Order: sequence, then C-alpha cells, then structure tokens
Amino acid sequence: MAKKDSQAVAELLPLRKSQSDLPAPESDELLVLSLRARHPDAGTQLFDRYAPHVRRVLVRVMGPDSEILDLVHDVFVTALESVNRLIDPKALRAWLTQIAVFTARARIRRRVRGRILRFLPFSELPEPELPPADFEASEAMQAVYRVLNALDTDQRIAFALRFVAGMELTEVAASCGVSLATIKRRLSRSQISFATLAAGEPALSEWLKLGVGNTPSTGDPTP
Amino acid sequence: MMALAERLQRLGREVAAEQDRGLAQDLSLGSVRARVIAQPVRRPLRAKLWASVAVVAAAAAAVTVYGFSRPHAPLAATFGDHPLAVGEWVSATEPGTPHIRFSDGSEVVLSPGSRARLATLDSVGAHLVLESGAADVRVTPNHGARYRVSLGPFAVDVTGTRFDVGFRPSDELFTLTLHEGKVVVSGCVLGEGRTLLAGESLSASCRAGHFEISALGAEGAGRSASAAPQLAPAPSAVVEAPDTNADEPGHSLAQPREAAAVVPSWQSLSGQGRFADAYSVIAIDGFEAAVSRASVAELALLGDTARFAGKPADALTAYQALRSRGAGSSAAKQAAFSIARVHFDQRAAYAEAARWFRTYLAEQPGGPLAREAEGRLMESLSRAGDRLGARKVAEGYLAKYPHGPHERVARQLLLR
Repeated sequence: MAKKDSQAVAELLPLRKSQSDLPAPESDELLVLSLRARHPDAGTQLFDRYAPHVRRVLVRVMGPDSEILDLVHDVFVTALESVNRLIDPKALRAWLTQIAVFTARARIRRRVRGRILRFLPFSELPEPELPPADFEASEAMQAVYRVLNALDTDQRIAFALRFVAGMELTEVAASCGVSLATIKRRLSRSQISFATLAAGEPALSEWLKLGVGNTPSTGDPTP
Repeated sequence: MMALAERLQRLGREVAAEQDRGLAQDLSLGSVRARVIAQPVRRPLRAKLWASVAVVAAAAAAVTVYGFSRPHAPLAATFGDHPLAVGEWVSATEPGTPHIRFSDGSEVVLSPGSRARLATLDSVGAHLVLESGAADVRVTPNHGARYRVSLGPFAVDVTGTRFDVGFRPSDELFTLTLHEGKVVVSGCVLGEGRTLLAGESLSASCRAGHFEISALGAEGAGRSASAAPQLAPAPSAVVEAPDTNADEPGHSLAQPREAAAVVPSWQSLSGQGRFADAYSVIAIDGFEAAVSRASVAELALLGDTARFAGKPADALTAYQALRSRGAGSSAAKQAAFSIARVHFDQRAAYAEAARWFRTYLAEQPGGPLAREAEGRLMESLSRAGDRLGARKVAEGYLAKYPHGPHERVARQLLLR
C-alpha cells in the first residue's frame, strides 16, 4: 500500500498547482498534499473523513458538554491553518487527535481559570460555566465527569484517553505529546485521585467496590 | 478480585458506549461542517510572502509556457440536447433516456431509475456522483484524462476505459464490470484503492464488510479477495450479487442495466451529516409527501434535516406534524424546543420563539434542555422588546442556575 501511495503522490505532485480542481484523493498522504495545494474539496474531505473521530475524542475527554461542536470547529480551523507544519502526512489521524486533545485541554484550563477568577468584579468575569449537553447523561456518566473535573487537567486527559477512549498507552502518550514514562506516571496518579474522589459518588460505588487500597496500574504489564 | 485498572476500564467502556449511543442520534455535525468549510484559512505572514513570490514565478512560467502550448479548453457536458452544468442532477426515468456526453467523446448511459449529479468538470475530466442505480461508463482514453465516478462510499478513478457500474444505497452494495482498460476502486472495504483490469468484475458490500473480484468468462479462474475472508463467497466466474439480494430480486445489481428504481436513503445521508444532499433526495417527491409518509420516529429526523439544510419552513412542517401525530411523547415535547430554535435562529421571530420555549418549559419543566430553554426564553423576550418579561425570567434563571451559561446575559438584563 505504501508503494501505491508513493506512486500516487508522484503522480499528483507535478499536477497539484495546475489541476487543483481535480477530485480530492483518498489516502491521507494525498489529502495532506491537496490541503497544502489548497484543493477546493480538500477541506470538505478532511472534515468528512475525520469529524466523527475528532468529535468522539472530544466527547471522551470533555464528557457531556454542549460546546463540543465549537471545539470540533476549532480543531478543524487549527488543522487547516497549520497543515504545513504536519511533518508526516501519513500521521494525519494521530495529528488531528493531538490537536483535539490540546484544544480540549485549553478549554478545560480556561474554565478552571474562570472558576478561580470568580472572585473578581462581575465586569471582569470570564465566560460562564459549561452549558449542558443536548442529551441526558446517565448518573454514572455524570459522576465520572464530575470526578474528572476535579482532577488536574493533564491527569484528567490521560485518564479519559486511556480508560474511556480505550487508547493504548503509546497512543495516549502521542496524543498528549509526552513520553511513555510521563503518561504512565500521570495515569498512575490519576487512578489514585479518581478512586479517592469517586468514593464520594454513590453512582460509582458499584463500579469501584475495590476502593483505593489496591495498587493502581496503568493496565500495561511493562515497567 | 478485579484490579482497579480493570474496573476502571469496564467503567470507561460503559461510559464510551453510552456516549456512542448519544452520538449516533446526534446529527449536528453538519452545521459545523458548513462553518468550517466557509471559514477562510488564515495564512501566516511568511506563507503570504512565499505565496507572493510563487504568484510572480507562476505568472512568468505561464507566459513562457503559453508560447509553446495553448491552454486546454474545459470539457463540456450535455444531457441529451441540453448543456449539463456542474451541480445539476439528472435522472433516467425510462429506457431510452438521453445519455450524458462529454466533449472528449466520453459517455455515461444511466439505467432506468438511476440518478446522477455532475460534481466537477475541468479540462481533463469530470467527477460524476451516481447516487443510486447503474450506469454504463465509457471514458475516451486521452492523454492525462481523469474521470471519477463516486457511488456512496465508493469511488472509481479512470483514465480511459469502459465499464458497467451500479450502486444500491439501501445496503451499500456496489458492483462493477470492467470491459476495457483499468480502473482503481476505493472506499469502504476497499480501503485506499484496488486496481481492476479488463475482464474482471467486482462486487463489494459496505454493510456485509466484504468484496469479491472475479474474472469474467473463465470459470474458476477469477482472483478473489476479501476484507473478511470468512465472509467471502467462493470465487465465481461471473459477478453475483451477495446473498443479501436474495429477497429483493427486482433490485439485483447483478444485471445493472435492468436495475429497477432504487429508493434513495435520505436517512442515511442525514446520518452522515450531508443534510443538503438528504434534503435534495427528500425533495424529489416533495417534502410534504415525505412528512405524510414518515413515521413518528422519523419526523424529528426529517425536521432536523430540513433545519440543517437551511429550510426553516419545511423544518417547522415536520416538527408540527410530530407535535400532532406523536402528541404526549417525549419526542413531541422536544419538538417544541426545536420549533423555538428555528424561529430564533433562522427566522429571527423572537416573540414566536419565546412562545415555543415557554411551551417546552411547561411540558418538560425538568427536561434535559430546561436550563437552555429558560436562557433562550430570556434572550427571545429581550430581543422581542419585552424587557419586563426578560428581567423576570432573568431573576428566576439566576436563582435556579447562578452559574448557568446565560448567567452573564441575565445579569446584564438586570443591570439595565
């Protein structure tokens, strides 16, 4: 498949300026080239191919939140503006995941700052708290995100990507832009914090009967 | 005893499954799509500088090149005697329907019941979207010719060839028989592309998750492949529709030229966030007809499709039908909120929006959208000029939701 891609890239490269109105290509590599060549359909192709994935990542990290669509919008605007900085076009999906994670983190941090700044006069208050989602979440889900809201932002993201999104450790590390060792440390801490705080959530008691006395693990047998 | 990490993984899986159920019903991605695509891309200063240099260089190159070769004229397309413009839909209603012809000699013959749209047209080829049905495609082999035929999730890229192709949206079944030349078919189970040679045929089903490539006229000699080998039928000498066709003999794509009219699935297009396309499918028989045919469960989706396609009047028709036909159901109560949203967002009819937000709150005082409805009621009243009413709602809002999303609006209203 890689050979086929390089042939296709070689075919497209000399054409991309003079024939920018050709149909957008299918592979990620060619899609990136089309985006860089400002192919008229490339943005649409990017959105159609990856918007569901991006939204899913955001929902995993943020939980029930009616600002998800704004975040999806921000992710794609960032991606379209910075596609020239993508080093490996084959890593388009991972790159978008990372942008989604960073966009979510910025929004969470802004909200955290907002909570702190509530001591300021009204006129200087930041944006209000997050609006509700357009659908009713179960008690357990609401409780999970109440607990995650109380965690350190980086721990919260690592936890959500690992346990809710079900990502592999290497994927979590790549999505957060940190080393594997760092992500293991974050996950270890986040599990302890989560289990401690979840003890105060009746909706989670059945799920976490084991309590906090057990040794947390990243779910990965390697040291 | 299960380890903590394992318990967290189970909990996480449960949460993810619940989120996925919510996402499956949420069609709002289409509105973001329109915003993203409409957004002009900002270029960094350095990129602008290089772009200017590139423009000057390109202009110089163009002047040089012009001396050696004339620019290619864009192709023209016709449907029978009528010029076919980009974006236009054509459908074959009966045998003998005119062909789509291109000025380079390429030709597309639609089978009865098929529907196609010319998506792009340039100097070297065209992009034709075959929404449903079947077609006989002949592309004249010219140097550098590039044609694409899209069929649902599949795409066929050709440079010069002749083939029969068909697609049935209801089960995402795709078939292609290649008579001459070479094509690359991509999408869904075919991934980034499979090359097909003359004398081969392909059938692929997105839903069943498999595809098969067979040789024509050489029994047992076909090469077969499958994304899910355990599901793949044995290689066959001729294209055979998968078993899923057995109960629909009239819709068999094994004989694409005889394909009967296929009902396009606006629901599936809507589910993909392609609201404008979904709406154009609905519009074939008329929106009112779709409303009268739709089940109560489909009416909300019909209303949402029209709303996101920018058709507020039709959206209101569907939501109102849902209110009367599903009276008392939670979908009907939720429709009050949707009606209010159409009046507010798309018609700037704020008094009417306020009336419907009140209706929603009266019917679902503790509903999942109650906080949003109360906030937007306050905004609607304010925009409709009812300051006193808006202030009253603002007081109630702040008492109930002191840090709600409309907190700032409420406080500003009270300060005035």
